Amino acid sequence: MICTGCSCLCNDVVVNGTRIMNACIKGYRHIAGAKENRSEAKIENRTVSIDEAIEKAIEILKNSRNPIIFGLDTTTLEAQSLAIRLAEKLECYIDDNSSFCLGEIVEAIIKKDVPSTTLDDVRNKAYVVIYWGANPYTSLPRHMSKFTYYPRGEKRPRGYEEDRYLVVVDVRKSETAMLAKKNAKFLKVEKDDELVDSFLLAVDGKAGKFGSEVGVILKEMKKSDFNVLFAGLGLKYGISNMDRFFEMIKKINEKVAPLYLLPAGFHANMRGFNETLFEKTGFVNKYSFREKRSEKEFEFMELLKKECVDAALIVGTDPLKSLPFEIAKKFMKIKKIVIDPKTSLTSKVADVVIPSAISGVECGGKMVRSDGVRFKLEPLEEKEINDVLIFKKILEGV
Amino acid sequence: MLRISKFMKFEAEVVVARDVIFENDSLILVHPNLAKIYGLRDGNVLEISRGDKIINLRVKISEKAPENGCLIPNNIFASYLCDTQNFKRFKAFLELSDSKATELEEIIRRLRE
Amino acid sequence: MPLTPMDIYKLLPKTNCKKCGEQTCMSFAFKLLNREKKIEDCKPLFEEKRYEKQKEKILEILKPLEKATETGLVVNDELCVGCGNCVVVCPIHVEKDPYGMAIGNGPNIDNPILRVENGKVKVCNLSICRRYGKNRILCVVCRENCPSNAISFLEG
Repeated sequence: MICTGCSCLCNDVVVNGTRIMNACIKGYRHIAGAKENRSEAKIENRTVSIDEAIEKAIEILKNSRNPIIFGLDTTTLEAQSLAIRLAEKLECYIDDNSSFCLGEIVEAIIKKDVPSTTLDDVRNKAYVVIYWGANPYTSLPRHMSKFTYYPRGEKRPRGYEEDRYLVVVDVRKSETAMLAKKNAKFLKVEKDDELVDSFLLAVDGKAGKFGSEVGVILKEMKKSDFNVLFAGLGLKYGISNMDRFFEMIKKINEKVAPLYLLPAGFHANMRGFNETLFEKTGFVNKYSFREKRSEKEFEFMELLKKECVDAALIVGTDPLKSLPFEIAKKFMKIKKIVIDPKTSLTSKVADVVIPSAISGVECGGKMVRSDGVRFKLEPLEEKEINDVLIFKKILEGV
Repeated sequence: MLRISKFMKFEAEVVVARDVIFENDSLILVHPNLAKIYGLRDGNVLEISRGDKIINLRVKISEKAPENGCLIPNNIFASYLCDTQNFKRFKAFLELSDSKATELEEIIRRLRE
Repeated sequence: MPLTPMDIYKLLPKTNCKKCGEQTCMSFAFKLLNREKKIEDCKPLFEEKRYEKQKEKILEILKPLEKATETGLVVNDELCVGCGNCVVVCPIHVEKDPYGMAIGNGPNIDNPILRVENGKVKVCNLSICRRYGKNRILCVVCRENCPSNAISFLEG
């Protein structure tokens, strides 16, 4: 089956009774733990039937002046399309975790502003592999062994031993940084901007703060016509100007050697949401169907901060876990509808909870891997009530 | 010998990062260097304050924390302390505490206030 | 802390009595660690009362040996996250399964040395490990590429 535990969408996972082969601990918990902490249909903490919960959700959405649909990163493309249609019908805001995750990077890739590639090509061709502000050990455990550094590929038959060069950039010595031993470099940075500047200077033959290290890395890149940089959340939050980072990638491509950009680490189908919304509107996230544009102010967090929304339909995500306290307090004040197969902090405080099926385990559909490759899911069972059915009913109701 | 450092309140940098094993625990990873300076041990409870927000987290000494700093797993305790400008990295005051580690329910209670 | 032959030697009678079949107590310590000898082969340690305390200590430090596999490989389940680095880097896996484990996938062969099951790496078939048997070599590739130090070897 295809594991939907993270955006690697590992396609070699085998379920043999209670034995789950080849999946990492995240995948194992995702698949084996499917039956634990299930959510129940609830209205204001009172157990109800699913139809009643859906009715109540419709009522809240109808009565709301400014609702937002948020999340959708763990559901299928089919459900995402329906959610976008619902947002269009309600003329409301729609956003996902990518607006405070790696949305900008996915946007640049989808718009072809920066060169990108697929993980299969990385396995077969990549020489220099850079993880910047990413620790795949915790976010995407199999990333390095399945796609990037360790496997042997068509043009890299000796794999990590001789045919690859690993660079890890982080503010701390993460687990991934520990693996930077032979043919590798760990760059400990305080300010990510300084490293971007060093690369930009080095390309023009000048030396910045990390002059010697950057020189070595660029020299390694020149040895190959295929290098790749994986950008993680550490980069997103460590860098003050993302455009300068994109400029760095472009300049390295023009003057040194081909360097492709890929996002590292997020929910299973976050890229799917970005692509689906892009096809429909030309924007990847934080979109308002009323104003027909995407703005920084339309980010879920910004809308909550400025108290611009009065109801939220949360799908398969747990914002309460990651919202800063001040914003979480404002989130508590609005009406909250949660569609989720599992209980979460958010579902505990929600006005309406609609239980659903786990995409990829209990229902099928399509998802997009972090590199843009599409996969048809191979669920273990097909539950009747899933995100698609719930959205269809809500669409009918409003 | 009396450990003077025990009574000290100090400022340190906190990085927020995912952690597969301790994901939802009320835990703070402290770098051994920092732990040595302030005499911290595994299992100690630290009171962490940032502005008017205060929580208690259990100490785990770990080299995974940034040098001279700390790491809180990406969970509600980290979110409680952070703000939009300093979302995944901020400075906070730390002090040894005799209280228990803060529980999840406590944060939810504060949210509901 | 990995166990060394010296740690064991220090607690042996150090009389070089040869009752175990070895020339010296030091070489007995080596073979003990390599699992070619058993501690019970040291007759004086068990028969003579004056070694009673040493015997207890030695049995205590040898406890991890019982948990270790025939090649001295120990996997700490609590630390493993099932990243599969060890499975993919194993030179035997690469040789025997060029289109499976060598390119990062799960095993296509029946009896791999290591495989990830239920989110943790499991030792399945040590008989093909380079550390096994008479012509063994001290290969540590799996340990070297474990990001969480979940893999260790008795000899350190």
